[in-house]
Amino acid sequence: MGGSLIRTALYSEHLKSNANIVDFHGFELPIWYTSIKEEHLACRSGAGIFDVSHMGSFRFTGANVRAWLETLSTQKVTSITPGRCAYTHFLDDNGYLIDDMIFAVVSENEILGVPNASMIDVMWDWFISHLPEDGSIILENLSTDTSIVALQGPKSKEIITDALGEDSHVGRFKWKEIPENKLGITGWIQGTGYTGESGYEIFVPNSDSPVLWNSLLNAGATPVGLGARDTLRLEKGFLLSGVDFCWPELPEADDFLARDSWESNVPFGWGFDHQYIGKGKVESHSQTDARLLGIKYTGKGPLPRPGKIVTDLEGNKIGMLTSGAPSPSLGNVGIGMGYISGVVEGDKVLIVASERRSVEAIIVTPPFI
Amino acid sequence: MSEIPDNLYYTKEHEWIRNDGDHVTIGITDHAQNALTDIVYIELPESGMTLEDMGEFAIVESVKSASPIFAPLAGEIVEVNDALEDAPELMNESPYGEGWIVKMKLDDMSALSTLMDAAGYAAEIAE
Repeated sequence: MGGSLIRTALYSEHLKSNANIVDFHGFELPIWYTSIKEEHLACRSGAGIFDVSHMGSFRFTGANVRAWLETLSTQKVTSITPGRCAYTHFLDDNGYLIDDMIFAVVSENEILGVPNASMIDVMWDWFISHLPEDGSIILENLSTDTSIVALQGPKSKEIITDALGEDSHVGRFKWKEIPENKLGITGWIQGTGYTGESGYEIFVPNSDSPVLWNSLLNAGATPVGLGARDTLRLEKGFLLSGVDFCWPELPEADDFLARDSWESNVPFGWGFDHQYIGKGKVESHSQTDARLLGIKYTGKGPLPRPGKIVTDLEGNKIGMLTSGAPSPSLGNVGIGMGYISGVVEGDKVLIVASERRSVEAIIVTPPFI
Repeated sequence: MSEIPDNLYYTKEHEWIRNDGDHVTIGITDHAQNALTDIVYIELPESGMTLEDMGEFAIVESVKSASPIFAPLAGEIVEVNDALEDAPELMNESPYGEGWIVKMKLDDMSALSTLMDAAGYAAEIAE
């Protein structure tokens, strides 16, 4: 993304918390405040708050909006009732994963979706190109006017109650408007997130987000940067757009992985009894295609990182990692995900961790914790 | 503020070098360990390895990144701090003490004078 960097409405709040700011897909966002490990563990044991305002916000409205979105998504949207959220993938005509998205069915006539930051423009064009010609579905881009704050961790409910009142709580994968509250903020709240913990994602006008942020901080939440956001999601096996999948192609994929990987083989977000774009590839993939699997170190050595090669014990190349890091929840043992062929859970493999060392690991199906 | 002991030499790559007479001891600075935050692994070199000036001899890994460590001057590695293999956090806890990385015999000890002193390094990291 060229041009100047975008600051979210919480930029000066991050500076007050001594954030280390980085350029993330054109947005100036905190990578960490105190340390990745501390923030990671604070979210697992207490509650963390994340500025995810860089993520997009689309509104789809019209009669039969669910039936229309279902023709594009791997998730069976018509089975998601008003007031509920779901996760989906969108595939191109060849079955390649373009982007993933959490969406909320607000009513029979309205859906709110959250495209990934780097994919807002791509997804906008893609949805527009698939709108019905009769104009019955309207798409609006709310991204630049909307701030998103995620509150995640076992103490989230306590903290949201303190900040916004008891009525603001929503259950996992539920959606509702933010009820009247002492902060006077408006918007919507959903029981979703990217850490695997219970918690919320809160959507508010930009002008309301500093008040919300500070109120959650004062109620005891720890600010968490992108660094820990990545290790938190990795421990739960959640995909990262642009890293674990990337449209039109993975940046580091070589010929071995290229485009025939069974990259959409993830254990969630799939419906098989409805029609959608790209479904043919989903049904016709070969059992020998490389699949997205996890690896966990059993040996010691340089850590697993994106782009590192996976081999069998004889040294034959069988895959490549797309994500990898030490797991703060597991005493910094190396964990990773990648596209690997010809293995099943429990198999031993080697990760070519550096020029000098390969490290033994076992194949696992995420989540890691 | 980072600690910058007076009796050491420094590099722009945030290493410190102590003159121990016939050899030098090398580690990463307090500033470097602060910037890296939690160090979780170091790939150490073998003793006996010979290095050119700026030759890479170790890789320090934090949760997020892997950073190479370079030889400040040409020479031979004569001792490696194996304790770091199991306790890489020593580089965070004691960067100038138990967190030292290697000892080197320099080809030319007088080349030490080309490195920064504490005041020079303080100015470097203040930029």
